[in-house]
Amino acid sequence: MADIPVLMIGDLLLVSIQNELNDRIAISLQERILERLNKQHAPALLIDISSLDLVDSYIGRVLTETAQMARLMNTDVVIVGMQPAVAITMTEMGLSLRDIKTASSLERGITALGYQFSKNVPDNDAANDAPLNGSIPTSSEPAPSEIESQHG
Amino acid sequence: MAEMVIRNEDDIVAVRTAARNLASLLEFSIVDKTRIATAVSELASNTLVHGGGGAMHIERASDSIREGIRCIFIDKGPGIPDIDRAMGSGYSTANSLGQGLPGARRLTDDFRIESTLDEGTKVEITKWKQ
Repeated sequence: MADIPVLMIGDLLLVSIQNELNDRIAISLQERILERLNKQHAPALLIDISSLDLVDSYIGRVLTETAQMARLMNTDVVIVGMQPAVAITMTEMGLSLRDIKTASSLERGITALGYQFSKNVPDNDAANDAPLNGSIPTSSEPAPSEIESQHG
Repeated sequence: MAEMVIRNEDDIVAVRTAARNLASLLEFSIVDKTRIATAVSELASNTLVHGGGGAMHIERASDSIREGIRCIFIDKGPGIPDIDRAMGSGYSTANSLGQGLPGARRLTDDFRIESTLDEGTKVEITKWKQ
């Protein structure tokens, strides 16, 4: 099975898990993320799990550990797009992604990190200058005023 | 009734996919499908990691009023010395966090476990359609 791509977009690192994860692939992904961060620092890493229809205790642990390791390398981690059935199942099992930021979609994850999508403004450097926001709302969309204040 | 071997990590993906497919066939809800697949993933991991490999039997279950899915995991590993302790959260051998058994019990309706030292372990789960 092909490796899960680890992509750089601006200074954000993006991993979108599209395939079924087994334990070996999960650990290999963790190592590749950390190697990538070691070569080239990124202030933030987004892990898109919207295609994952299952997070068992092993995958949950790998995600948690990856976030903790990345944080030690000064990288903020946001897990985005968890399916509702996965959230319900994890909670019933007693699993949590302890202390990890989450967002309901990739776009909200990026926005919550303090980056902004601009359709009409041709200022490509805006994202690079944006500061990281310290707190990511877990379930609700950030209020428009919050987003404004980060860029005001 | 089908029997599937659990000898490596790809087999774990195969058995949880089989369980999800049967759950789809029986028109379980999306959340129940996820509960079943996750419980199967946990137990198949236990069979591989703690039992040294084994097999899963999967079948449609039915009684007079309902139908469901039954999965039976069998290994010929070292057995579990203290089942009560293994059923408590946080118990761990072989480098796992010990969420597997208690987690699978919470996600299913019927849960049975038998284990004999030096002979092996058998875990049976049933999920009934609501």
